[in-house]
Amino acid sequence: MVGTGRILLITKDFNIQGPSSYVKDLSFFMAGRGTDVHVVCYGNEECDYDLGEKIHVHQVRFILGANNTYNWHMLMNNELKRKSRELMEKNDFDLIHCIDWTAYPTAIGVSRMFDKPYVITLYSTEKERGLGVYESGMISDIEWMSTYDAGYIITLNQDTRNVLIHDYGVPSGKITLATENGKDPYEETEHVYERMLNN
Amino acid sequence: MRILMTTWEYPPDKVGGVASHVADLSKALVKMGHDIHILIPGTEKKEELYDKGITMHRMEPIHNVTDMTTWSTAIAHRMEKEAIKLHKQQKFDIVHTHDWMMVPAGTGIKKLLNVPLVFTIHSTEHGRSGVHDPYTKMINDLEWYGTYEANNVITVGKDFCREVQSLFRVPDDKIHYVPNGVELEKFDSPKLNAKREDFVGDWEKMVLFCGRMTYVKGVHNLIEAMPSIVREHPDTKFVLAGKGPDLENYRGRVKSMGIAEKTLFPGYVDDDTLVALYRMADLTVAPSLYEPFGIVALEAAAARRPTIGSYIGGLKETIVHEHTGLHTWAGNSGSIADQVNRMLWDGSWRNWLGENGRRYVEDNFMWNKIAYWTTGIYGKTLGIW
Repeated sequence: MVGTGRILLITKDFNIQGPSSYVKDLSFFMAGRGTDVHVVCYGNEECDYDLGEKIHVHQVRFILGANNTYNWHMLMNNELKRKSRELMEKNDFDLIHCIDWTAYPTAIGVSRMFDKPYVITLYSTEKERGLGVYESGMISDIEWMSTYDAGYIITLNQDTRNVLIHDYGVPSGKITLATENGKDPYEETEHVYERMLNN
Repeated sequence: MRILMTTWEYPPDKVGGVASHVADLSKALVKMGHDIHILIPGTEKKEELYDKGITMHRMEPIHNVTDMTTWSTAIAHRMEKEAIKLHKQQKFDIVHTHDWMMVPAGTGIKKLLNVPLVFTIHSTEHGRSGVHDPYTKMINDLEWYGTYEANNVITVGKDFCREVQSLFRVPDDKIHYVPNGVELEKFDSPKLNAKREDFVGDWEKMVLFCGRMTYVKGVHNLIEAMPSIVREHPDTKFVLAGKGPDLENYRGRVKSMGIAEKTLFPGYVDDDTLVALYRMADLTVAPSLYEPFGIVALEAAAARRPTIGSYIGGLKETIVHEHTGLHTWAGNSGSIADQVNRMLWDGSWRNWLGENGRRYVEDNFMWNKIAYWTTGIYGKTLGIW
């Protein structure tokens, strides 16, 4: 599909030295398919590095604190936006893949600026997490908005899929449960890319 | 130039001075030939041509909002989406953002559109209420972030410029002082949009305060001064216009001091009524404890009336002592009483001060000049000169 294409993965976290994660494993999977993967993520210092020939990591730093997690993520996205926009100006991406609501403001911004489709993976929803923090309502709102704006939504568990359909009103045809019936989530993600690019 | 402004208030919906500032500056910029688009919160999403060629883009309201800092980051997201749409139709040259509540929007738009940012800071949390908890620290941090991310920073007062520079460590070459201005036409209308007898008796002298009913505006000091003024000038009536968190407290205070019949609290008054009040008043008092600019003194002067105001911040510039009004020591009710008593004795002097004030405004605080200076900062930002 994307084959020799290029995708922009936007995520708050990309810890290559840590335990296996969906974003890390997806990057390696897509790189193995010959896709050029650019990852924009947040970290303690600003840096760019490559993992092999196909994975290019662009880490940004954000220096401001905030009084709540919603505000911090919304403001931290400014740096994700800057880096993503710079990459979009230099490269021709096929699509944008956003991980979680914490990177959504950037994903929708660059998607609209450069007329590129975007897909979002939601690990869970605020409702499931049930954190009940001060700004939970705002987080739920932006999660809903992220699903509304996305071309496709990938979830990794049935609960999240159910919440999206029944609480957020997302059409079921827009959601892929990437782990359904023992499927390989990375192959399923690749299928979502294909569907998106063929639409 | 094609300029995108972001603001949280615009006339007729006014809370502080930002609304008038953005409206008057935008109108003056339009007269200079610039294309002005304003992103602003609204009750529904709509686009409309407004004051003399300004295009307003109103955002849908935010629900579930927990506090104003969270509101500011949430509305920023909506403004960014709108900015992208407009930028794709025709590129903006500058984004100009006002006040901390618009810092998330201004900085986000700058990062996404790669358009330079000008930030006008109208006051600081440090000055307004102090930084003493996570919420006020967040506001303070957003103010810093705005000055840090902006290509150029505009402050509205000379003292205030130094305050911002020292508080946020802003480099010399990116911080500028450009004052607020006054639109004279509205003060020259032959018609008054309020009747004097609705506020004071025809035998009474009107001492006007207008502004937010909050501690930093120093209303409590004016109230403390009232008994002494009434003793010397029993025909004085104080009209305290505005709303705010301390309004009921002030009402109770004048009642307990036995001067309720000498005081009128009309609450919030619209622009037309405010102009009429300035013109009908014998004098205006601005007893602020913190005032980055002090537009009240200029508006009173535009109405040819003198102001007695604290010798602090912008009021040091907007009042010329013994020439357009009088200064008092900030936070000193005795000083306020002395100066008000002095001025109430002499109607001719008040008229002379008022006429001087009007000329002072005409020479220094006209929006066409201010728009010209602002355009200079836009040009510097774009590297044109």
